[in-house]
Amino acid sequence: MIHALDEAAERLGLYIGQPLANARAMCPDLKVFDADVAADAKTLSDIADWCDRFTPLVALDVPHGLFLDITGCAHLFGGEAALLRTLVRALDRQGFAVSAAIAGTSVCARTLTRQATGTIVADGGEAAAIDQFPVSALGAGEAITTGLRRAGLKTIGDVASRSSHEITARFGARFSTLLAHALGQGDAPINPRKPLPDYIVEKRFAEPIATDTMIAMTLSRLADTLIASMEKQGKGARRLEAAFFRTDGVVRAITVETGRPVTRSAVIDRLFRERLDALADPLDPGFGFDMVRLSASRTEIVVQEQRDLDAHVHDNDEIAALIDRIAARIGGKRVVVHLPQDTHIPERAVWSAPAQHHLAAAMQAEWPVRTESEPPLRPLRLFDKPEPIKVPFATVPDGPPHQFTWRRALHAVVRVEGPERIAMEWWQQDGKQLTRDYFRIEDAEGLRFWIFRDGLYEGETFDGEGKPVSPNWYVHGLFA
Amino acid sequence: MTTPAYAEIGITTNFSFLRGGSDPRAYVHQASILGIPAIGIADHNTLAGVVRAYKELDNDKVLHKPKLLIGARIVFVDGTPDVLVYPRDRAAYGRLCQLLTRGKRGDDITRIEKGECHLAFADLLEFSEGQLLVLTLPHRFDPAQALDVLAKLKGSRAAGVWLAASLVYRGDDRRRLARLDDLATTAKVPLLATNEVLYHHPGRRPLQDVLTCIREKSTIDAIGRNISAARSTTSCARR
Repeated sequence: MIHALDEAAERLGLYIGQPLANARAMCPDLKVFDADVAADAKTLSDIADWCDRFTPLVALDVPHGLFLDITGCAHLFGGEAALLRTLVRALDRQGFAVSAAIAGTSVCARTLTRQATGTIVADGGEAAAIDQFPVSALGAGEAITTGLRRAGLKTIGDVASRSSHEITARFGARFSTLLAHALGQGDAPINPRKPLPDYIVEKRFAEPIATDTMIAMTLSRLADTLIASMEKQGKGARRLEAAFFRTDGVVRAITVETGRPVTRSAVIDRLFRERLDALADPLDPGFGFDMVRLSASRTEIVVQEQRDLDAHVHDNDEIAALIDRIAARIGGKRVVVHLPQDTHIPERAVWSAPAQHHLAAAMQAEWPVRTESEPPLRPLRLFDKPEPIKVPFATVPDGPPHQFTWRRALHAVVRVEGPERIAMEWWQQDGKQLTRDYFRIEDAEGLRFWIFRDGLYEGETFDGEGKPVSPNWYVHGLFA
Repeated sequence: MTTPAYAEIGITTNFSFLRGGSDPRAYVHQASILGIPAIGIADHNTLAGVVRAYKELDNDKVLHKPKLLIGARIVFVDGTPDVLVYPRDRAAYGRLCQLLTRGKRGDDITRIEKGECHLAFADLLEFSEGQLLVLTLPHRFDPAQALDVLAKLKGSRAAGVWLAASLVYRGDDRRRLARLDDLATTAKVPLLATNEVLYHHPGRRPLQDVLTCIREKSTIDAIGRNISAARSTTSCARR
């Protein structure tokens, strides 16, 4: 089956969807390549990345198309005609066959690309521009296109001349909407790949830049401009993205997030420096970047606070700044704060949350207080997974083991406290787990363990045939 | 099964509103199955549950008829730990009823809302003649206060005073038992084992947890550590 073909093949009369054997029969020396849909999608998305330089609103029109909303952007490139020329030429040079058109509605522009590439249609001229095109240019699907032809409607103009309720009755509401959009009556909103950032600043270079110092300098200038424009509206950035557009079309975007809104360009500067230093695959300038864009994709209103003379508030700010810097270096998910959770289940009692987003909560968290003269009842850290231990015998029914084997070493139990009985939360997903009896154990060498028996004797643990078996024992953590 | 030489005297039934998870009859059957010689029903400030338990003894399915002890758990409004009260004779039973009536009806000056029971420690002392009294203590308790209460109970005209010792399965049972033992020795009262039972079978735990949620006006997802997830005061058998 033919998935795609080039112009020469098309001229020979081959068509998409044709069985390969037929095509070979028509053209014996046909060159065939396996279709790779994933690679095609990747290429399209790469091109879309590259197109970000023209407008932030780029939408995919799968499988082969892109919509660019250039409202208000064209003058930056010397007008619509110049923009179109630049875009087509650049893509052409990279070896892509491009057909492009500009029109007031996305559907109309798409129709144009199929028949008259390079056309620019002024507002209101849509209907006239596509009047003479065959109905297939609308891209409405095989059934409808054939249906229209059978009805004797050969051109879009023919279809447009019929009253719309006739069209709707025959070909469905969806087609009549498509037609209306193509004729410039209303428009289908395009679905941009990325949400429009709140603030964007960018710098283009006539001569591509490649050195680290130049990049750093550019970023810090952009940061100044960005901050200045955000400051006017009292905003601070929570999420910043720097996009580097390489001359050969590759785009690299680098994101940093912060725990609190950033209002100083020095901070942005520093965060990006940390991030760039720590990149696993460093920024590769190749032949240089011809454009750098800095955008704030998430912003917040900054409340100017009256500072206490007391230094505590500042302490907090400094912790937040430190977390932001470390997160920029090693990734936001790896810097965590611990939040106490209201449950008896040991594994769930503490939640490690991303520090940038939960710092305030962690500062106010109320941990269960230990009464004086009480020993710590649980280890500070638990094992990721409880480790099984071998227990030859234990006091029945509620007692601790007398000795156990853990990691191939035998430990004789000298001191015991417990049991602390923890029944699983039956209303949770994993509530079918067994009741656990936890013991704090000290062995002959003074090592302290937190071990538990998974399940009660008589009644909770069974083998495959429903006969009761002895429950298993596990170590869940060590006391310091 | 051998008969355990143990009588459960701290049973809370569903006549303690939103606290007990099982019907008094269920306890009678469970005691019969487990072969427990005696059970003591002690509901929160009421004797209402004992009637059903007593009637159930006539049921033919109850093979081992446990001796039924009739009592009540007196819960005070003044912060005194709960005391289980078991009258020794008919006259003492009357006094217990009088005590409960006072708690529920109030005196001539104050009226008590229906469903509530306002009793102070002094009220119990007044009606203590001929009663068997068992002081129960929460997981964490103040030894000085407990000692004071025990001394006053012993000083009253009660027929006997005990200190309840139960396992709460919070990990520090041994230390707690040692403290209770100290306390009992100092106060010169014997220790009495009880499980402070809330439901008759482990399968009742979900019901018990839901009751707790209703009582605390919460939901099962939000209740968190308020629920007694560590409690296993289940069947009377764990001894």
